[in-house]
Amino acid sequence: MELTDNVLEIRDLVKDFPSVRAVNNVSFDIKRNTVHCLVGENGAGKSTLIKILTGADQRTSGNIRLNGAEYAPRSTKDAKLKGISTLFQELNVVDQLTVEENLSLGMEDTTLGFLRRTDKTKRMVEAMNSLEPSIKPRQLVSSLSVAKKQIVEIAKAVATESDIIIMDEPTAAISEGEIKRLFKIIKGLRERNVTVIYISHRLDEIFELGDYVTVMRDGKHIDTRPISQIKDRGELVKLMIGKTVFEQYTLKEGACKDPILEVRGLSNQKLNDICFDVHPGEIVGFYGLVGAGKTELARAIYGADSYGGEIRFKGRRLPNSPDKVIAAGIALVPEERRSQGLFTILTIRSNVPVMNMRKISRAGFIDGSRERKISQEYIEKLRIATSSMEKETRKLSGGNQQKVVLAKCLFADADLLMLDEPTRGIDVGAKSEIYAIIRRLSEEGKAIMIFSSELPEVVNICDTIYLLYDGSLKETIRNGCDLDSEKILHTVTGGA
Amino acid sequence: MNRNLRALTFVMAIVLAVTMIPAAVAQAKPLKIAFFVSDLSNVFHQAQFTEAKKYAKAKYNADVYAFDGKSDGAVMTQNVDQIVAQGMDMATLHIWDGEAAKPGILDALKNGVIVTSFFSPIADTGIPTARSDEAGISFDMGKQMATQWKKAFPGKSIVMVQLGWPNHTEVQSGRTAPFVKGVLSVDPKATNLGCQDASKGADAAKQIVTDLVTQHPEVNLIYSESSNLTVGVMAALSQAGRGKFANGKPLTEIVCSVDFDEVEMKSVYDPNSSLKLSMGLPPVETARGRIDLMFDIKNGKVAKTSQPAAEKFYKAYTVSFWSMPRPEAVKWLNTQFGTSVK
Amino acid sequence: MRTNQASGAALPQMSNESFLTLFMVGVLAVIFAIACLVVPNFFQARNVLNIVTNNWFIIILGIGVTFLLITGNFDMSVGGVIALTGVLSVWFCQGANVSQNVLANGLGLPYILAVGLALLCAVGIGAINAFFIARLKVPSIIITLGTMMLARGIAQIITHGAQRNTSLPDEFGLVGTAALPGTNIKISVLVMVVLVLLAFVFEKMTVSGRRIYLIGANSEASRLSGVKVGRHLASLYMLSALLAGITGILLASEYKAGVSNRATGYEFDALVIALLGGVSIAGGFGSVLGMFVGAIILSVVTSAATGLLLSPDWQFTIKGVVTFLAILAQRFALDRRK
Repeated sequence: MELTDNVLEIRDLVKDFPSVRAVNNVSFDIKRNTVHCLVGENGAGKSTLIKILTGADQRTSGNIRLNGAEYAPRSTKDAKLKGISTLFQELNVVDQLTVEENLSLGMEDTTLGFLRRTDKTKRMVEAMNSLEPSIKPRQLVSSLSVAKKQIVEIAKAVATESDIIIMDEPTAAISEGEIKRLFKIIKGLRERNVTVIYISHRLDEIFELGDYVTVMRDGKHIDTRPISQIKDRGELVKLMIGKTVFEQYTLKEGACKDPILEVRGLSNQKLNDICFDVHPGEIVGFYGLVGAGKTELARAIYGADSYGGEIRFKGRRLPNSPDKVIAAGIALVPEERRSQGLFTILTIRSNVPVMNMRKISRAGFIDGSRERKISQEYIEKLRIATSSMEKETRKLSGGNQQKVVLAKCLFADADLLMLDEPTRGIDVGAKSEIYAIIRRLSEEGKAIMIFSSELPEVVNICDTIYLLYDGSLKETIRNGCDLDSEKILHTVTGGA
Repeated sequence: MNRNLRALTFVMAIVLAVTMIPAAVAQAKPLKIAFFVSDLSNVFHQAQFTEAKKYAKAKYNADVYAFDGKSDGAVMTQNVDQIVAQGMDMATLHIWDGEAAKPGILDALKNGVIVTSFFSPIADTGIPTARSDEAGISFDMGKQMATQWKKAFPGKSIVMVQLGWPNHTEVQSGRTAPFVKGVLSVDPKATNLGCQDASKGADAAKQIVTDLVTQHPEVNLIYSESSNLTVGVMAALSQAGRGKFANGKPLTEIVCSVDFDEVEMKSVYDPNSSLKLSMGLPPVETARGRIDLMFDIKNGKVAKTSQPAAEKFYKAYTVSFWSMPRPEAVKWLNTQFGTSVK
Repeated sequence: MRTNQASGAALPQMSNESFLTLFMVGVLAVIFAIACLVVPNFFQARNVLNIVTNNWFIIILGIGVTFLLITGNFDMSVGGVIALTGVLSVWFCQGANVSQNVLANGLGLPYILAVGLALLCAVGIGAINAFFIARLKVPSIIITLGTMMLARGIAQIITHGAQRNTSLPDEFGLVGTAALPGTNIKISVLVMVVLVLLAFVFEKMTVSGRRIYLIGANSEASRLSGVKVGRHLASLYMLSALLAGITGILLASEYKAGVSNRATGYEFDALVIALLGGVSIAGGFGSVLGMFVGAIILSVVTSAATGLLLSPDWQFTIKGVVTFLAILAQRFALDRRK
């Protein structure tokens, strides 16, 4: 077949949902063997477009041509067979199987129902070896890091000779070092005759990685350009949201009140003799790579994991169970919003008050009108985009889900709010809104702890930054203008 | 269910039995009889076994050993394999899974053991079966009920139903079918709604009768195939405002049961309850019949095996409000079961 | 989507749960209509009353089973607990040393005390479930199948595998057979209705009821949101056992007998009516009201099959097919809604 210059041509694509037109007359081309970035705020229509491409959703009208031929996948499996693979945010790997088994999953060759090891599997193992030799085929997938699991998925796509790999926020859950490695692999895919459609909220990545960028807003196609024709981040953001967002840390008065939280000699399997204080009104950041112990630290303070050492809150020793810690005045926005923070099959109304049921009940009975009033209040206060408070939270976008989790924690009336990766995988707009909320809370005198693997995030809003490496606190930094990001990176990657 | 527990007790029983064999062999004169019962904790089987022991010793100078099935088909089958191992001369079986026990039975026959069955013939082994004459009683009960109904309501036609195990051969031949015949012998135009499946127990029987008397209120003769189903039947009738007699006269229906016991005693002789008859299965006659059958074989009166298998029937009783006075029923209970009912 | 033009705010949409319950009511209406056409004398007040009251014991069990299913857990021990409680209440209450027959002799306790102790033992079985499931995190199906056998095993030991039904005082048969004054509706049915109403109020209006859904929707998020997951599960298991115990007392009283194989398979019936009522086996979704509708559906089918005087094999097949189709229709309706 004569290969066209464009691997994919999208024409007049429309997708209607009962209440909204999610994709509105979108047309653009994707050039062969490029990294084509797709950006836009949450709700811009990216996800829907991707779902149509991967066969998870069916279009309302319009045309898509893959390699010049009409392309209308009936399912994700069909899309894969036709040449479009996807690296989803929630990875498709099965933890209990080995790498090799995962590679052949869904593509098994069988004889009389028995699995056969075939050339196909061998090809996949080879592809994986060339991408990342450190992954062993017989290794259990559960023992791999998120980044390595992604590489397994990429290997699978490469070996099945996919024309296009769609990557949806691949760096959301992996550390800086791993991102570098992933990028090297993505850049290498061009030589392997693979086109990458890359979706990310981290705009810096787009400049580093992309050849082309398509911007979407409100379901419409705004522009498609070579990256080289975009001046800077600011211009891209302007295209995305039509207004410019500034995020800058402003120095605060030094806090001199008594500490609200005192941590002394905190140790457990993952943590090593951690000591620090947090003061009312202070925003404290814990920065480190994945596996540095951020989440473990948050969970230990919260009473979700056991620990040795002493934690005092408002001068009293903190009990070791989440319900008592919440009652004492601490709330946690957990790392995994869907598996730890949200009740996805329940409505927004049922989610918001769960951490402080006493406030919406009398003598154990729920006051329904009060519950609705409060939910409505938080939907407005945090600008949660939804048609109704009776919407199940799994139907919300990532950013809005995170706002629901935040609403839950705010409603707990905590004096200390801990946020673990508060803006992972959510768009710029929602991000800055969440930062604004955090700053407002701090002005109200609440203490805030942020656990993050995104340096810009910590630098933007934290007054004090602790650097974590391998379960230990390595350095304490007062935020100001003399931040040396290179030195920070040096510390958190284990440099002395 | 508690099979493990049973298996354990069984193993212990074997161990005990094996250690006791030498003692038994030492005075090996009297014949040894394996007396199978489905469950020795059952009052009927207890009485049956006690009588068998007494009767065999007195009449034949034989020793009777209980082979307790513990209500578990597997235990019963294992017991069959023990007949030869424990040196039994005769065996009267009461087991549930005939096919599984067949090899053990053939083995015993080959070893010269006289093997008979109680209640149901076993597979195609051809061994003779001792049974209570249930069919005769069922016919009699049907006849009495139909007669009494027609006497009270000459104009109302009879509609009968049975509750129990519709797919069970012995139940059909000994209970359902003869009962229907008995009713038809009085009123050939009687309607039969058939046998409803209450094999799940009293609660099932209750639900069926509740639905039945609502949707087929014309039902007036009810045959409940076991005393434990009868409690459900009577509960359903009383809930529907039925189940009553007016001083010995039928009102809405007449009920009969099987396996007369102390509890049914109260209703049958209560002139205001519609449960009026019950088949009295006598442990005494049953035990004697089972023992006699084996000695009939030994004395050449009955063939060891035959095709089809021989069936010998032993006396059963119709306990009836109309045909058996209360004192007689009390006496019957006390002699048969060794109880002290007044 | 409907919008309230006057206030501009969206009207609360009907929840999936109400939708499903209404849908099953529709299914019930269809099945009932068919039964009325096909079965003679089916459409009459008396029969409708039977249909609602026949299954009172399964419905009481269904309450506990539904709550636990909503939390994502099973309780397969309820049938065994019924047998155990019934047998124990009889044994405790039977006269002491009144007969040579061991099965006629009991402990000679007063009725109220006998019932109290028997219920305590039922809750004890619930506590065993709770300990292993909530504390040691053993999968609930394994533990409750185990306690099902344990409870029934004890019942069998006490009754020597049969039943105890003699030397009982007259008051033993009172609660199980007494009817409400002026009607022939039994106290047991009243107990069922009251318990269902209480369960409905508990489930929909109380904080503890809400937490059942939270645990089922996401147990880890519940814990991190301050819900004492273990303690809640433990209370629910003990509640479920208590409900089974109450059922056992009522059933034993009805026939004045403690039967060791009573209520065999009721745990499955309770599970089936909950599923018919739309309770999700994955947890987080369902309602006692739905379970009640499910029970009525099953009752209509059973009653119609009896009225048709079908052979047992056909009755069984029809029940199976209708249950299957009803659950299928339910899943289909829910999927279409999404």
